[in-house]
Amino acid sequence: MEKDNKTKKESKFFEEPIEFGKPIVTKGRIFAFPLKSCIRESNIRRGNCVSIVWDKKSFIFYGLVIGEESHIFLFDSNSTIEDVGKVEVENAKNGILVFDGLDNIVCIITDGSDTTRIFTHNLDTARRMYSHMWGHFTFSPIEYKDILLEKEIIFAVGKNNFDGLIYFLTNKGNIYTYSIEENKLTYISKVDDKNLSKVICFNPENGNVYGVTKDGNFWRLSNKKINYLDIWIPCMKNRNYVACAGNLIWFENRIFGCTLQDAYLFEYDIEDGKVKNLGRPDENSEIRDIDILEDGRIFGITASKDRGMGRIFCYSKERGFEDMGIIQAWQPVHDFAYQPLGIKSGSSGDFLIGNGENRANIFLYCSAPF
Amino acid sequence: MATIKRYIIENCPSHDTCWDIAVSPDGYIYIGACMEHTPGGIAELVQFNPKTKKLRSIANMAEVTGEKYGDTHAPQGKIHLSLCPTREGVMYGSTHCTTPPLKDRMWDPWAMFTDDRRCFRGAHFYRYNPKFDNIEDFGIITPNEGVSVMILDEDSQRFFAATFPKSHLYSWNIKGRDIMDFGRVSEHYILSLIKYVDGKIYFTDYYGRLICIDPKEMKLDFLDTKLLHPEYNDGMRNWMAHGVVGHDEWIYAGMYSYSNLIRFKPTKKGVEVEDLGLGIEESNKDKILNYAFTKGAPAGLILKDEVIYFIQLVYFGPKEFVGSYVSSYDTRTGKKEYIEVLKDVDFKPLVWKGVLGIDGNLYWADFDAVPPSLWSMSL
Repeated sequence: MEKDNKTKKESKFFEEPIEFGKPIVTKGRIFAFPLKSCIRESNIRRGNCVSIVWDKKSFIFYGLVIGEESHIFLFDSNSTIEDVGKVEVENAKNGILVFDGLDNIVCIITDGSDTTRIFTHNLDTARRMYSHMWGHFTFSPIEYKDILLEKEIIFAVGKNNFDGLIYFLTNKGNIYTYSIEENKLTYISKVDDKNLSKVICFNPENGNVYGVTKDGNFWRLSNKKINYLDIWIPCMKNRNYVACAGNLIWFENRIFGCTLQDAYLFEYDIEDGKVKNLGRPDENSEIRDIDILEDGRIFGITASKDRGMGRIFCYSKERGFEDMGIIQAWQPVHDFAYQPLGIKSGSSGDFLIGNGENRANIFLYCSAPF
Repeated sequence: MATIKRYIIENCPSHDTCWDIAVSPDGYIYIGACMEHTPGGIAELVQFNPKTKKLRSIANMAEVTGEKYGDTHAPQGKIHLSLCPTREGVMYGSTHCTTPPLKDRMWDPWAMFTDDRRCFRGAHFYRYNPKFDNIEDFGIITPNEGVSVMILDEDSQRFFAATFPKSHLYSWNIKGRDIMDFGRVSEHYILSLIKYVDGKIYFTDYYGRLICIDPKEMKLDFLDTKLLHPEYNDGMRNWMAHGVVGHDEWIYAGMYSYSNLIRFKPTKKGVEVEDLGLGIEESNKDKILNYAFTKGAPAGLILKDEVIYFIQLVYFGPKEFVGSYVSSYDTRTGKKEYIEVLKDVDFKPLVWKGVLGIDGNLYWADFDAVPPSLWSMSL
């Protein structure tokens, strides 16, 4: 009798659909993953995890590690990490991933000789493998698109949902668009490159592009023309010469942003044209990056320029700032993020944090429900 | 029959830990006497003359670094595993943190790290020349961090060092300049850097994963080898804490959380790793020794005449078991021999690093006594 029950149970296991993809975690906890040692057969070497995107269709994070070698990696919600492949540039200085909203990741990356190249990676294969054979991935190649910009360093990239194009900003203040369908790069305009912030964001209703430059004032690209707005990001008195933004995110007709010189979080209301300084989350001197959940909570990472010591904070209208503490994890390895570089939200309030220090390590922060 | 002698470091009556001990070619033994548990405490560099059997203080680290005693900052309270003698007998060293500031009760690295008033200002790099009895400070080399371990590579004339708390690997030249930061190499701390016969320097991270520095190329190689760890965990808190290179070109090592002495050999095909087993014969019925060699960990490794002498260190546990059990492993025959527990009347010290004196004696310094002592064993 006992034997029969056992057989029945086993058969049920294989026949019924199983809900994969939900991490067994305690909310509010942080998990650490050094990419070299947590990935089987990883070729990822040391480097900085500078950019992360999230694929809504498969609930998978993709990240970029730059260094002597540059790799794209995959992180799924069950903490599976895979090395997607090598991006064929040497000694990359900066690189950014952007999701085209459909089936591709675009990787814009600058190598050691300041040449910026465009690569794409199609997600179809990984998505199919994910749905059929959970945990076992094969990947499409990371393709070089034969487009390069010499002596220009990539500063910021984003997808403009209004026209469907990828926009990017370089250290010279040049703004380009890239069409993945036509594989075409188009020069659009130029902003003042003095003290240029490495940020860009879009108004999805009219396609206007926003950024920050010239001692912290906003610029707007509208109909291929640049306007410098009389609106400044917040900074301490007489420190506008170093005013730089860490990120800008469009959310419900507002731009939320953060600063690198005084660690301010701010809100720019497009309609009334005013910037509101929301304050400073902790004693660190830089807010490196922020991301926003659908419920309006803003999560961000802070650190000080040289000392580092990454912390996480949460901001909401209802509760103001909440300090979530230093980025320290005990599982699967005991690790710290002293120099966090970016944070990206995924499904159900989990965040992936990329770290610097030439370490190639990432952190998963699982936020508690509101 | 072994003879044990204890030399109390009387010039350091309030010092509580000695992590590093080094011998220079001229025979002097140097000890870093630390004040780890005393807020505001300052480390002292101590010299032992094996001919006269005298200990003397060389330098106070507050004076060397020019820091004011008793200010709000975490003091220059430690000299960790950083004493590096040169062929000429000059001693290089760095300072280390984890001593709380005066009036504080405990060291909290992460709280202090961001506190401008209480933070450790940084490790100083210094040089002591015994010919002129002169100590020279090259200034802060790792801002806000201490140097947990340092090695001199005389071939490339560069130092390689790891910091605490961030575990970054640095390299600088013999004047403490041309500082290179390789980035973070371990989750937490590094305790041992070993120069091998291939000219490369080996160490492990917090999980015992082997990493190799090539000083010629100034490159790091993260090897796919994890040194041995207890079965009940995944190797956490298991650095290679001690190591010596044998004449047979094996690196003999003591891991922080593993009871047995191990050895490994980097080859072109990969790294061979061997567990040398329990430090005593398995037939040994002695209750204390069985506890020590199954619960303790090998420390203070010394190579003498192709024999590895080591301490089986029992730091935690019932009081009667805690102590430093001297044992040996013959690299030619594989013979293991328990020698004796370090002891002075009823006092059993806990020792960390060991050196071979020019008089042929084995020396260790203790890390859990006020005042600390230098221990010598003649065989």
